Amino acid sequence: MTRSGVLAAALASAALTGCQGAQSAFDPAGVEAERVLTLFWIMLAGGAAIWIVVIGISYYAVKGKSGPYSDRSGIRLIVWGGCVFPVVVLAGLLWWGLTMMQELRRAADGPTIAVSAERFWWRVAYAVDGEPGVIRNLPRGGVPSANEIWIPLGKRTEILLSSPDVIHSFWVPPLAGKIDAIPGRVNRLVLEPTSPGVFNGACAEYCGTAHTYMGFRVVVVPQAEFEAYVASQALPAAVVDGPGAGLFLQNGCAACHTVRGTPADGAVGPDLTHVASRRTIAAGVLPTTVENFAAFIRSTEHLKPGVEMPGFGMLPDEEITAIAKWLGTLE
Amino acid sequence: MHLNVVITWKRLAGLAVLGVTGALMVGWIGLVSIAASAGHWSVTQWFLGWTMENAVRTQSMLISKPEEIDLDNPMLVRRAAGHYATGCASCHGAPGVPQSPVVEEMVPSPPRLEEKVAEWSDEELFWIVKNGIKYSGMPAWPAQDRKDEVWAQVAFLRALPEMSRAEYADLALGGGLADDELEAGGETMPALDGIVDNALTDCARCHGRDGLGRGEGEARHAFPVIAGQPAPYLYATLLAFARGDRQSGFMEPPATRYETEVLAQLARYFAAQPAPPGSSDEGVAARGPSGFDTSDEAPASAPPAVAADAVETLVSPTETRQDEAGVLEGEDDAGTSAVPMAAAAGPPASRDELLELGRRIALEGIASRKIPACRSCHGGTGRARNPYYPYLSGQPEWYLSEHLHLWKEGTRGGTQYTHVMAEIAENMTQEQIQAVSAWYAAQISVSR
Repeated sequence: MTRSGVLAAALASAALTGCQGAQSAFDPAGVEAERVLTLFWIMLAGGAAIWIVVIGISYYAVKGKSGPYSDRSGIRLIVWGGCVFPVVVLAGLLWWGLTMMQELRRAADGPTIAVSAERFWWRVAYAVDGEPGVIRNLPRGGVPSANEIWIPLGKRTEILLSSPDVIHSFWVPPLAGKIDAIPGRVNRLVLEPTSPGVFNGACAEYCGTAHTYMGFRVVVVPQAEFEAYVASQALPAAVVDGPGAGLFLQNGCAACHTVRGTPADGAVGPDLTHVASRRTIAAGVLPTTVENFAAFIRSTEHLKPGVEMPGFGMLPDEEITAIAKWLGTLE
Repeated sequence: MHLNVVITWKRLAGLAVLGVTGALMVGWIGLVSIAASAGHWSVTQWFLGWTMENAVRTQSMLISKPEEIDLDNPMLVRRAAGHYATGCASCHGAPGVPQSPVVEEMVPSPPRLEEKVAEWSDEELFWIVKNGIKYSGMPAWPAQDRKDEVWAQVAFLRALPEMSRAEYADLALGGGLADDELEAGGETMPALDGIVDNALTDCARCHGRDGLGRGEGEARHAFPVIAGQPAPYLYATLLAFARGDRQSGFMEPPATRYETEVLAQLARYFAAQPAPPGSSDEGVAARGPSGFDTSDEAPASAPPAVAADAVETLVSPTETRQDEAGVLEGEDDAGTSAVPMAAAAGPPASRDELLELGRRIALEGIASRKIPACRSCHGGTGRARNPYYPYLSGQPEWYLSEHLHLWKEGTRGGTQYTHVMAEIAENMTQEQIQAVSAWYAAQISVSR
């Protein structure tokens, strides 16, 4: 191998490591993502083969043959290569795609989870009943959470998706394709994970300044663990009083945030009843730590440009610290 | 005589250079008549006046008075009266207030406005008050975004020709001076030299010594209620006016007139005045009206838990269904009939519906429109409150609505907390602002 060959191989392998991980469609962990990946490879191989043949014919036409062509062979090439071949290939792909879609749209056999994509976070409700809820066309009630979706392994979980503001798109690349969250209607997406783990999701439709910072996590666990999780999320907060809780109410945090078990009943922003049990805060922006709670409260705009929550850096530092500590206890 | 001159580019350029040099020479020699004592030639005076009148006429063409503004409204007249005394009377005089011989020596000398306002249309007066007039000593309005204040000032100017000396003294000077002999310039800055009692007299000209705002009858709600507001809020607000963080042609001048220590004392004084009955709440009463430092005060104990039905509070009452395809069905939506959720929905049809919408915004908020309940910060029973959050009950409707609009437009500064309100007002529709302002204004009727 030449030196440049080694370099190219090293670069290529370095680049390919980007294809693995919690947010990669090349590292599928769900039925739909696997099919999408198969489809991608077949399309890539087919496209490459056709490209090579077309380039070969062009080369032959320009350089390979010096004599005149017969009309007959020219017409034959146009009819077979230009009409019959594309019709057959495209019809085959259409048929294949449609049958795949039918399979993917099979009814769910797992839980139904309502997800409302909002500038710039994800409102989640487990175990929803049939009534329309806060995002009036999504089902009401259920167990509220935010920015982290737990789903059972091997089950088909139905995600009901809508939005109160602008169009967003729900995408967990290792699990499935993306689907838009559209104000005024409910879209459905079925996630059928094939291996456990924590996967990254993102908003895949530009929705405003903080679009980049609108992430979430999907946690795939066995059915029993899933049920235990939802049951634990349904409980009121672990610690409902103390200085942090008092300051939370007094400074108006409760205008937007609910902490069940306290008078905090705001429904504008994420439910914080079990915020410390989630992996990230601010929709995938920061790992959940007391320091990060304090940092985010102090300067939301700095850590998540375009965020809707105003920063509260004008509060005395000891008040911010007390609130952050209290949030850290809400597991 | 006959001259043959060939015009060349070179000669034209030379002429231009000569012109500029000549003008500089005239300026440099220092013999230009700038003495006010010399006055203008009458032709110069005519030309300047004519130019000014044309400019005002042309440049005010695009101004139109907003429909909701009624210049005969005594409330608007009262709102702007105090500012006339401090900002205008010192040059233009006022009913019962002669012009000082000092200002009469200005060139041009400021006219008495009683005789002049009839010559201008409402829009032209608005233009002059807002923009001022260069080279005449007439200043622009200190807060260019506060069109509401400028219109109030125009309303005052319209009332001026008919105004008696006693009426003026009552409106602008706090009433107590009606029988006194008024000095030239009226009650102006020299009389208010930073002594707290004088400063208080200054505030009381508009807000009253009780902080409830002066004015009776139709002019009753001319001023926001400052009595019983938390002292830290009042102090921070006065500082915001003084620094120009909060814009107001009426309030910036008095806030810059006094030392910060005086402002702090004024804040404490008005915080200690009893709020109108029913407008305050236990939360504020428990904290006490004064005291700047909150860190040593214990937060209120958490009210009883609401675990069982807490989940339900996430949900707004609505009965909208959708068909299988996900499309909304019908408009029999209990939520939407009172609340225009969508931009296309009309405003509430009756006053009662409006107040009901206002009540809902104030007490529950509209979560799906990203409008939190006002009471979460601005008081509600039994809740402790950050002392930088004012109470709203009983504030004049125009005041709440005007300021929500200013926040919505991004031109309402204020204390270090002002950006929190901006984030909320941004999401409110005109109807929602109207409704919540009406509801809070109706929460109390100030009797005096």
